Amino acid sequence: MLTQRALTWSILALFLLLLPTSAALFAQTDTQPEPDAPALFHTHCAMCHGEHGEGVSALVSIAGPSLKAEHNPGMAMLAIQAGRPGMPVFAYVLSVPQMRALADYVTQQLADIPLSGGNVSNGGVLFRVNCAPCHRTAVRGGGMVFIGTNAPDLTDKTPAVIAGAIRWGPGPMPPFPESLLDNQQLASIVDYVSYVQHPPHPGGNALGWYGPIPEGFVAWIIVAALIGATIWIEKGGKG
Amino acid sequence: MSDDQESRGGALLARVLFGWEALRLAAGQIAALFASRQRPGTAEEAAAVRDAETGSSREADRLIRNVRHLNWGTFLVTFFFAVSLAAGVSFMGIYWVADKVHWDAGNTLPLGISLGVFFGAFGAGLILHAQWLMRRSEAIELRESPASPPETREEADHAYAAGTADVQRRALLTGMGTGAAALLVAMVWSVLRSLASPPEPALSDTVWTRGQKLLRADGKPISVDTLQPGSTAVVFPPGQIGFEKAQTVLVRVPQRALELWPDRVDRAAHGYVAYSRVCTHAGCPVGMFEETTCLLMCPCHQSTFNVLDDGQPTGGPASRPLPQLRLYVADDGTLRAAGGFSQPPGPGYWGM
Amino acid sequence: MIVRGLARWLDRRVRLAKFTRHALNHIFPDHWSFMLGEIALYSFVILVLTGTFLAMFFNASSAKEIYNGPYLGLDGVTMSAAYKSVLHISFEVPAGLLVRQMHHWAALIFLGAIVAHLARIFFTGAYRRPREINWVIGLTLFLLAITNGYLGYSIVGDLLSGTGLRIGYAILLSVPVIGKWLAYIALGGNIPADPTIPRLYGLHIFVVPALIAGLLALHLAIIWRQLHTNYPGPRRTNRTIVGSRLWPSYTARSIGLFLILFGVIAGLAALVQIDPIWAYGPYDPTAVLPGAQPDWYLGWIEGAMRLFPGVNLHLGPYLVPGLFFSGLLFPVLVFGGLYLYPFIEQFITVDEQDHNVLRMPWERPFATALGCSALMMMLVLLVAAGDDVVALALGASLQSIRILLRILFFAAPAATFLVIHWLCARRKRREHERARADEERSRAQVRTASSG
Repeated sequence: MLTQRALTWSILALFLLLLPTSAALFAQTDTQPEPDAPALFHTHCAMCHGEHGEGVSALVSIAGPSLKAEHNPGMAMLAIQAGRPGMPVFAYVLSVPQMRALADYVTQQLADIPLSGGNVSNGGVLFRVNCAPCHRTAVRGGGMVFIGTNAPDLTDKTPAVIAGAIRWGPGPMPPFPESLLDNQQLASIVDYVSYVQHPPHPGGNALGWYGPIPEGFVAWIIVAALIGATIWIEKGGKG
Repeated sequence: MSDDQESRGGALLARVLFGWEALRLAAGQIAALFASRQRPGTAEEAAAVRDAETGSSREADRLIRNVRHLNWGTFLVTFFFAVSLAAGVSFMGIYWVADKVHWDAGNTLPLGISLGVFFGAFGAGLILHAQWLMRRSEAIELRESPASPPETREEADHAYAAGTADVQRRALLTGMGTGAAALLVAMVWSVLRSLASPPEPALSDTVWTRGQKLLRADGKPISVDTLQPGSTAVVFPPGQIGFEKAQTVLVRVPQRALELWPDRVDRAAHGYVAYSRVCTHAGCPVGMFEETTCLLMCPCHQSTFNVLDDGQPTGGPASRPLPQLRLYVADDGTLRAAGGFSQPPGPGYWGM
Repeated sequence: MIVRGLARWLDRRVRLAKFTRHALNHIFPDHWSFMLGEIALYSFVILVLTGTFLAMFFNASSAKEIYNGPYLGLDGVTMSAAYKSVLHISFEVPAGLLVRQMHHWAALIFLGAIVAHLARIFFTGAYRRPREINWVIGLTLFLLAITNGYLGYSIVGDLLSGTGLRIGYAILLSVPVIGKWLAYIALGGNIPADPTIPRLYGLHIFVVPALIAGLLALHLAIIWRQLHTNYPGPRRTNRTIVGSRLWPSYTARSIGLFLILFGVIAGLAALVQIDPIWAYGPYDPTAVLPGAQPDWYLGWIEGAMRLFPGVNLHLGPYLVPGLFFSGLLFPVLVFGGLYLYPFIEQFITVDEQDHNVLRMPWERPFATALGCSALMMMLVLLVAAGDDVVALALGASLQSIRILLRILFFAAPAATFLVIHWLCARRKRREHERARADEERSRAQVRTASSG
């Protein structure tokens, strides 16, 4: 077919045309001076994450989480390149060195909450008093009255996001400054949450971790099934 | 007078005495309007009674269904019993292997399933046996009257009366017996006192005294710069750390919220306000603080209390405000209690 | 042969043959709805069996101990000895978790079966004379079962049970005038007091089960003497009892039901988790969690406590605690109404007869509609008890759900009453028309037969 062949050739031609251009682009970036990470951060990240990576709240939820505990350059790089739920992809906007510089800037300059030396069970004790009233001990979120928002589920939150949120208090959540929870206590809470995200949990289906309400629901399904069994047992009985 | 008449007469007397009779008669008339008793025809009833009189033996039972199908039934029942036995064997296997190697709570699943199949299949086998391999008959018998026959009743009455006649000074027995019983009740009542220390003054205690530092769970005191605006902490008076009634929630109110309520600014020392952390409704810890609206909330029944408005309830089932703790800043910069809670903390009781 | 030999041996000593003959010939009506009470009875048996196993390991003590066990999330945490022993049962005792979950599931099913049984009795009018005594005993059993469920839930010492205990304490405090003494005497002081767990444990494993067992025996003895009711049908009259005899078919079916129930509970305990105490953590008076609900059979009281608005009522020198209305007065009124219902009905309908034949629900539109609307009210309250869970699961605002539920609390029972009453009255009218037509036809047949 003529049209198909023409299409193939034109694509090929376009590719050949673009090849030197892109090569020139790469060459150009190679010769560029070191990217200015603070300026890049100001331009691309500060709107959602704050000027110093402290995080920004929307009215009821997080516009951008705090980056104050983001110590993993690989995770930061991945997030910048590929985006996150609610976060755009920067791979088309920034060059690789720019993104790398940003990741380094975030993890080395901005991140100042150390996340080490925690203890899971101490974290649990602190979590039950300070966090469980909203997020439940099972870290699966909780229902609240206030302004139509519920405390979020923490099972998909990374340690950096959790630690950042504790210090900074996104949305309706109160902040917990260092004078209130020291860094080791913070690390403990983060460790506890990470542990309870996927804990050993024997005994069958957890029913969404919602507690006695679904348990009662299941009990009534079983009672209904048992009534069904009695109907079978007494089949043909006229009473 | 027959027994029935007698009891009816008694009931009538009681109702007249209590002024019920008119009401009852009216109700009876209304009920009669709606009542339409569907009773079996008398001929039919008589036939059933005849049946029951002649048929009160197994031989006279009316056969409803013979054995359904001997071979097929045998197969079904044997199958279920076999499944049950197999499940029982697997239960033993799982248990002993797990016990020998290493017990893990994850074994609950196979163990429970095999136990369930063991019982469930045996039960199903039994019922299938009843349904396939047993003849089923309909038996009929006469019901006895729930009441004793009058002769028997009179015999019992007589036994009682004859025995009673043998006793002299009956009033003495009754009087002393009643007195002793009343005394015993009173004695038991006072022994109940052993079960608890008196609730007062513990219940109406207002916990704090003037000048006490506010200590956190780890024993560190709170000073003016410990909290940032919008954050909260759980604090206790010295010597009562971790005590249920002593728990106090300290809030540093955000600046913008203070500006919204100018008349309250002077009450909050450096923006700090403190309340009892025990809900006035059912006594759960008022653990949630919502920064944007400055509300404290109880997770049990979702009562909300306004931190800026002296802890007044703003929603949910609570009706009383959270007891407030007035604060002042000492010269060394630590926060101190200015006195006790404004009310005894905890859920309400009569005579609070 | 062995059975027979044993029976002879016994009969030589205690004269058993007459009773045995009566028992084996005892007639039970054949209808599934008579087995609801049996489900409850057998659940109780399973509760006693599994509970005995658990009692071998449970340590009813509030003493503070440090946990060092396989569940790392609580390693090194200070907790009550009771909670520690339940962690031990769950993670270390072979089959411990299975038996624990069976015990808890059996409790939920026990109460579910009681409610189903109660509903059957109510809707068919089986509570009428001469069976009012068993109605009263049955309701008392229901109350005791609720109490024991609550006690069992409360002694574990996890955060959820501690929160439930706090609320129970607050309800006891709200009892008029003597409330504070009552709360202190029952629980040993302000919660959490050291005597609380041992005290409740004694009640949970001895006093209340013994009362249940005793009243259950009485309940069965009375129905054994009075005989069951019959559904309306041929040969079923006020003076006859129709059904199958105890031996052998009914025995096989009843034991079969017991085994199936046992199997279902074991399977359920294997497949579905109940009360994962390790996820709640130990009770700490300063800790709390949302979604802190009681087990379902107390959900209606919890729902009432959530829906009832904050009211400050001054009564003489007293300020009435808000919890008094929702947590105490409301349940007392509900149970008071249940206890008195047969007597009120007897009084109003001037009914002084014995009733051994049941009436179908549609034959009594008023009672049926009343019962259905009461059940609907309980359902609304049950949903209200979990309104925060509903809000979380649906992502909706709790406040709007609660407003909706407050409206439904009044609207749903009223609507249910009207609809059910209309349906029953229609059915009743149609059945009567059909009966009249049948009668006409048979009369006509008789007439033609006699004339021909």
